[in-house]
Amino acid sequence: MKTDEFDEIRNAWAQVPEPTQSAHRATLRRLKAAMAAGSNRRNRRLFRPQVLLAAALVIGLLAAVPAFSGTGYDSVINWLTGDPPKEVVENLERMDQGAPPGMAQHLIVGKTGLVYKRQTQFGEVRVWLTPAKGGDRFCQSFETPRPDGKTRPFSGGCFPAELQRPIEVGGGGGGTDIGAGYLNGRVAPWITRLELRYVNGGTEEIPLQNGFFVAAVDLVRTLRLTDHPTSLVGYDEAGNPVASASVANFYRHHDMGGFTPPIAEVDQERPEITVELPSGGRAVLHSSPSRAGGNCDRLTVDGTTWAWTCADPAELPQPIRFAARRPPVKDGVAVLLSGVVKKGLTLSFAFEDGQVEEVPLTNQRFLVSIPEERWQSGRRLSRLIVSDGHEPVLEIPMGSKSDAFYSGEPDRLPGAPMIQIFNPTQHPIVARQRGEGSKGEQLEFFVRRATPTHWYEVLSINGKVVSGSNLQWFKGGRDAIISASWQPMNPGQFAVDQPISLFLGHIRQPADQARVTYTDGSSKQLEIARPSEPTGGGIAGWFIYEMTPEERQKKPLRFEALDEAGEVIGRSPLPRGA
Amino acid sequence: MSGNLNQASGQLAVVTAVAQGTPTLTDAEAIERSFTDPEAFVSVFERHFTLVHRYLQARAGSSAADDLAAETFEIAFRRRGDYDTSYTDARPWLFGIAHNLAREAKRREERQQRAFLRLAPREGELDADLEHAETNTGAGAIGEALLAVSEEDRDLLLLFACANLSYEDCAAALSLPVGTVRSRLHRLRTRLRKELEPQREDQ
Repeated sequence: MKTDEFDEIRNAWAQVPEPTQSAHRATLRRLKAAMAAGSNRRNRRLFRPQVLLAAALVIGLLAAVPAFSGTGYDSVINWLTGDPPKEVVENLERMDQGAPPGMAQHLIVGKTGLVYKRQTQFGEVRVWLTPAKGGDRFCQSFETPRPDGKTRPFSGGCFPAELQRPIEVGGGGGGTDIGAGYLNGRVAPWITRLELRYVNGGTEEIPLQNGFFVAAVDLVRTLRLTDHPTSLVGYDEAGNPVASASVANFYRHHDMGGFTPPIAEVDQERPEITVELPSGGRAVLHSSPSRAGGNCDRLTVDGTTWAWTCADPAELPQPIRFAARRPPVKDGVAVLLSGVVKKGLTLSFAFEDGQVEEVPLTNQRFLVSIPEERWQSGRRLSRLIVSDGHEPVLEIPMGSKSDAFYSGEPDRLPGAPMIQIFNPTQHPIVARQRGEGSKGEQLEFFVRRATPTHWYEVLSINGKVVSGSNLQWFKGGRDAIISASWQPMNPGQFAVDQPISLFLGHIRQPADQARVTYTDGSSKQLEIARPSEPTGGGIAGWFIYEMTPEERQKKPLRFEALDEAGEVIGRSPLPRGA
Repeated sequence: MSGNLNQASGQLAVVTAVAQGTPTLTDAEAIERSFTDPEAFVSVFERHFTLVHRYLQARAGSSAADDLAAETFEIAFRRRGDYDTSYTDARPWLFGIAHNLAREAKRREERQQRAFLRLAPREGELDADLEHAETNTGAGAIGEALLAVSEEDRDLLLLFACANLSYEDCAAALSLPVGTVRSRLHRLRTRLRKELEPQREDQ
């Protein structure tokens, strides 16, 4: 070994251990998976149009919550003729606006090409593909037919460029404006024919173009127990089935926060388990039959919906699915555990003091309020034990060291999902509020209506769109009288020059006004942007509130909604961290 | 359970066969062969995994090294079409990938740290926390020996002094001109020599 100034470094290097056998095996496994899925092409130039392909996969929930994933592959693409419509181009050009560092896609919008187009029973569907700088990512725009017969952008997103499975499939609903469910994605080059199979034995051939596919299925059929789709099967040129992908899980085992799953037969809902809370309130687990099998459960506390989850205990993939929730109650917080246990199994709670209690199950569901005497260290819940009647099949250790879990701030209601940064200019603005930030920023908040129950909330600062939410309202979902979400933004994370801390919120009828109240009992009225037409399940207006240093000094406590008579009819606490 | 064990030993058997069956292949030859026989790439992995993993431990910490090393070889396999087979030794290429992944992992951690901290609650608090995060993530398992030098120099030292790459290979791995590598190493030598002088006198 050389002896020189770098010896100290070399000595330290000698102490760096060799990788473990398990790290070696894990890496080799991943490498083998890459080999199985990977290409054998040489000197690939991903910017070359004929290789510019990749794919689009819309992974979404039926609640029109599109999210995106997918990868590229190695076949020559035959671009279909046609230029992308103006709306597609505009959406692509806006995709990077306000993107956090490292998240911008750097699209080459001018190279957008059409890769899939066909008529379905609902109208024409199209998939446009756009390369991103760097060559290893692509973005797609997925257009679907609307009730007026025109095909317009439905969703879009970006993905890396490597196919992981022979058939990659995602699903997305058609929003509220058309009764279609879509299964779309792409297949490996050796798959030349694709078949969609239904639970009742029915089949349907799904046309492939450039390795992409879009299957349009009647939304009712996607949810119906008797004939929902179950799988996609790919065939090679010789007609042999060579790959399959299950699609059943798009319709089962949903956990949807506060949103009503579309598979729930809410008309047949009934209370399943009721727990009286020490504060005098009541937690209830309601159950509805699920069109996909099993049940959908809705947890309410004093009438407010906290969660939906759908599961079939007979086919639950895990021994147990559970959640801990800490809703606010009269004197603080309740600690609730609820969930589903697989058919044939039982559940027990083990506590720190050694006591073990069997948890009563109702149709394999449970809902338990952990009593205050079990909040003290040394007596807390330490394990969940799932047994098959003879021995444990799963033990789940519970964190028992957190004092905050048992006595801290209650959870906030599950929030509406933030989908993507988006400002779809094709939709009209139905509410708008302009204002000035504490550092002179020009703030603009506006709401674009897609349908009366599907809208986009957009925030712009100094003329730049910095964030946006794609929101949808469902009957039976969370209809809080007042709700606010915190959006702290720092330069670098958002397209802002200086840090700004904002709350965006809305009030719902019959609320008419909103205000922020402080710990000293004083309050400040908030300006309300009122919708010019009914939007979002009775929303009466939106508000913005900036948490300036001056405001912070005044110690704001909560937002309050007031009716026309000035009575407080709803409250929304500010999170402690704000 | 037994099925899993059988599968695992099956994979090991394949690795052994490849390693024994292609003892004389250079990295470039193995990569070339992998276009028709992807398994040939395993020999590149077996040859360099330990070194790349240790580099990543030193660079990004032991907890991140497993994942980053796996990602390095996955990317290398997927992008082997871009490999210039006139270079027989794949180490500069692999270290270049590993270097980029480690750098990106650090940035990601800093972003997460920022997101976690959200808005600076008090003047100066955010910067102090970020500085702390950087110190923690920059040194990795090799500890204080590298803390005194800049991040760029740290990479160079690891590749040159620890992985024993040549000036040219360091330059290729870090996408730097060879002249820059030489001058940086010269500067580092001078600096370290000065720092070591008092210690040697004490001894």
